[in-house]
Amino acid sequence: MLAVTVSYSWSQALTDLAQVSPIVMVTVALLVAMVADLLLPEARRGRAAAAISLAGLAAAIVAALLLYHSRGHDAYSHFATGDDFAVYFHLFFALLGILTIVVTHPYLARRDFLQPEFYILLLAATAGMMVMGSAASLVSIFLGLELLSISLYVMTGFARRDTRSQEAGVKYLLIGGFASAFVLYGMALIYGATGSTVLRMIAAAAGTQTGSNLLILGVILMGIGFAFKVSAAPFQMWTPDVYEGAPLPVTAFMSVGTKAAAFAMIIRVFGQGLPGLSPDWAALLAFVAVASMVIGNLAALVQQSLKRLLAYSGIAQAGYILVGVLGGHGAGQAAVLFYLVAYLFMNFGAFAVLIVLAGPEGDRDRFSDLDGLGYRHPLLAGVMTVFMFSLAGFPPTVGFIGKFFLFSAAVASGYTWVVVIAVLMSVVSVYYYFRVVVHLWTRPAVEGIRHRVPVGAIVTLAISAVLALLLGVLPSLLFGLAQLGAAPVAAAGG
Amino acid sequence: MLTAIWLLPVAGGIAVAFLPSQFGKWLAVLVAAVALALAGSVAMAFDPGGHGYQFAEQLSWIPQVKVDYYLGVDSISVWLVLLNALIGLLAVVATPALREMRSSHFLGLLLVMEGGMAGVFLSVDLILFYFFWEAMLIPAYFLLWMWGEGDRPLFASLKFVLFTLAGSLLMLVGIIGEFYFTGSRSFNLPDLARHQASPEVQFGLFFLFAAAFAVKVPVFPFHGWLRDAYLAAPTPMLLAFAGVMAKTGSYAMLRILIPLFHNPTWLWNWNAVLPVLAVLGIVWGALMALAQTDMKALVAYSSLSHMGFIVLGIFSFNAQGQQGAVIQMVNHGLIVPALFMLVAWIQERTGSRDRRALFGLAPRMPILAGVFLLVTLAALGLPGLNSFVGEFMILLGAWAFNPVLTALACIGLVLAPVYMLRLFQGAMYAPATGEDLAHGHRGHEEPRAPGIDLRGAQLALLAPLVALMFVLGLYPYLLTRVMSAVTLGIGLPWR
Repeated sequence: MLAVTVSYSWSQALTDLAQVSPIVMVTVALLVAMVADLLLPEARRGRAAAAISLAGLAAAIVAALLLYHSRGHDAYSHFATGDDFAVYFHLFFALLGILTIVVTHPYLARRDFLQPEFYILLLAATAGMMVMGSAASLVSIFLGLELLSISLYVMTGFARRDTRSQEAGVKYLLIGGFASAFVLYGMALIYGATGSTVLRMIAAAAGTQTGSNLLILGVILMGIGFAFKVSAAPFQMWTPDVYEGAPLPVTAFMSVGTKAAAFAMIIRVFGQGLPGLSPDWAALLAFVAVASMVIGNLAALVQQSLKRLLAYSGIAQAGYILVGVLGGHGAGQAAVLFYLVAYLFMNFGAFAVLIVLAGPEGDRDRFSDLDGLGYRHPLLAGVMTVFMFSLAGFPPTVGFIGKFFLFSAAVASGYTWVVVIAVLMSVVSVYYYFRVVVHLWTRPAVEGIRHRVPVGAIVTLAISAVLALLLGVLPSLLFGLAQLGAAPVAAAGG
Repeated sequence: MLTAIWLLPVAGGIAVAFLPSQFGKWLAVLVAAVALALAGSVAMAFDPGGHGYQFAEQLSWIPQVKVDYYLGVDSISVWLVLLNALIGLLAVVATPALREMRSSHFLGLLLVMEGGMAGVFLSVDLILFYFFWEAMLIPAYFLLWMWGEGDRPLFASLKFVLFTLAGSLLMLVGIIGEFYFTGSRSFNLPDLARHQASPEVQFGLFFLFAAAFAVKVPVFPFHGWLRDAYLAAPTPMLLAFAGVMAKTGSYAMLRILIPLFHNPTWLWNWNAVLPVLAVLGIVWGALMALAQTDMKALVAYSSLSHMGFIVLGIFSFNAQGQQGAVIQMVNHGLIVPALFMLVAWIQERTGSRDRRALFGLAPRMPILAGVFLLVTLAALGLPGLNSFVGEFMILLGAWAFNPVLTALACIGLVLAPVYMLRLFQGAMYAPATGEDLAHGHRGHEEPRAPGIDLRGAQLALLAPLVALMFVLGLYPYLLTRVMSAVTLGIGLPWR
């Protein structure tokens, strides 16, 4: 299938390079950071790596903006594309990386983790996510997935002297490896059934053989692997343990990053590559979505650790987003893209508050650690309250509008029953999100704890909270972009 | 103009919350007064002969999904907007210097809640309506929880929020369903009312919408949150909570359920179910009120009974019943706040809310007793006072709809004097024989000798409510003149 290009001109090489320029920027920063690590004196390595990473991610944002609306084409023999869908995710991941670095730097210094490897791994993971967002073939999707996953396995175990972190790293490695195997097996079967790994050609081939068992088996296996990655039930078991064990910044980065990357992958593969099979995978997705919402929300009710609570809430949120994927038809994909940004602000924001609260001895993630925060530090408690209301889906926050878009798309596609379950489960979720709010504002202040909140964290939190409210009131600012981003995939999906 | 009616209290409330108490209090009064003036001027300028929405403001809000920022007042909402602004001002003025320094936070939240409720009454676009409907829960939650009375304000507030939310999220599904299943592809009420879905679809959607409204009113089997929430609510908030927030539910029934679902029939006909639930609520509320010894709980259950009348009027499907329901919404919004204020002041003076522990208060505070009697009689529907007109019209309308149900509803009317007059007589005029204290008394402290009667400021708070009770009782045409038979019955102001 792959035609060998005999003459590969310079001009074509340059246009191909332009299509993947954001990924190149991040990768260059990664390489520079590695070299700098060798050359610089030890005391300055951490700061230098952070600076280089920030520069690389900022360059990636600029490159993505230049690509914006340029009608991307497949570069490097269908390795990747620079269409608006890819641009949207490039921007998303670069922003996530920047936020993570800004919030994390003081945390790392405080906990004595300030090592350049953290930033190098972060860049590698970001590059992997970007590849997943821009992939045009199954091979590059898998490449991105592994680049992301392997970096995250190491980051999860980054707290070397903390056995919980070590345990989480190993657990994530084993289960993640398992999931990757599922994905790869599924991809192999799909290749066998359709004769291609390029999404567009798969779509063409799959359209003619809807009843193929080989193809359906491949879709199921791949779907299971994807469900592991978005931590959707019934493949969610690893999530709470890994979230709890990993150092907070890693949890924060992973909770938003892996989820977004995996949804990019799901939309690419299912929406763009297998639109003809939608009745088959939609039934599967509906089941997974309902299971995630029910299990995630019910389990979150009884958690004692905030990290675990957010892990289960993340499982439930994955369920809501899957409801949007079910919506399809462009509206659903746009809703998913919108909600992922909403999720970035509210979920990363919530974790960022916990990162600020963490002490030198370790993460403070019990409910009692939040007691009286409203009196000790009203600003922190205030933004946390906004994030909780947003996660719970109250107007006027972005969480409400995001859910409205997701549910609206699903109702339009006839999944009203899934949406009814989703809203009933949202009622359940209010209980545990409010529990956090209650701890923030009621109990008397615990004396003796002073929080020195770094300026970077304040700015990040304030921006996240303001955007969570602003996009809740004026959602069309972002929704237009989300629609543009969804357009290439929706066009392929028909 | 209409934007200012909701935005001013919200913005003002946020500003008040960040001010120190002594300035916050005055700014809050100013904001509430200006909001009342705005609402009043809209009501004055409202054209009684006009059809459709007046003062409408329409902007595209989320163009991608056809959501509009669409506000308007019609002949029903104009009165409720006014009521909301009035009660909002009274609630702000009635807020004493609270025990902590956070009274400016309290006032701020109160104003934000007022703004949210104004938004509910003003919205024509359903998504906008939902936005306000749910956003007003947030201040209500904090008010109930942080300033709540009783042992478990947190429990009461959470129960209220979860009950309400279960209903309103179902309504969100219903709203989305209306958009797609009616084929109208619009969230505007007039557009949706023109596109009736098939009876089966209406049946499903009716349930989703009615769940939200029935919890808010509350209609009979959905009133589980009522007692806890009303008992926990601090008095100033309770004025707005019982006086106005319950009306958002009945307003929505009249303005949304009736026009959108002409025939919600599949397994059964929902339009026949709701009047039955309303009558059950009337009777149940009255019986529960009989059994209460806590005066606040007694008023809460009497409120459940009275809201049943309103729902009955709405679902009588004729102009008389629905006009009566609107009048009664306003009346109830005047009477219940007055009752709750009086109960709070009696408690403040005697230290008790237990009606069995109170006796012989009238000689020591004659003015309070007099006002209490007046409000009690208004609540009972004495001719010449406001409730009489509303209840009479509701019963007339309901009789035309279904005489049996109407007869059953009259049980509520018969029981109301029993519990209300027993409360009044017991607390005000019962001799201090000690007999009341002898049996069944669960160790309440001896009522303290009440020192003084109502103060001038407190009387001033009640004065507008009492004056309006007389005005509306003697001249109900003030309200009904804008509600011609054309705009009601089928419930479409825009036809």
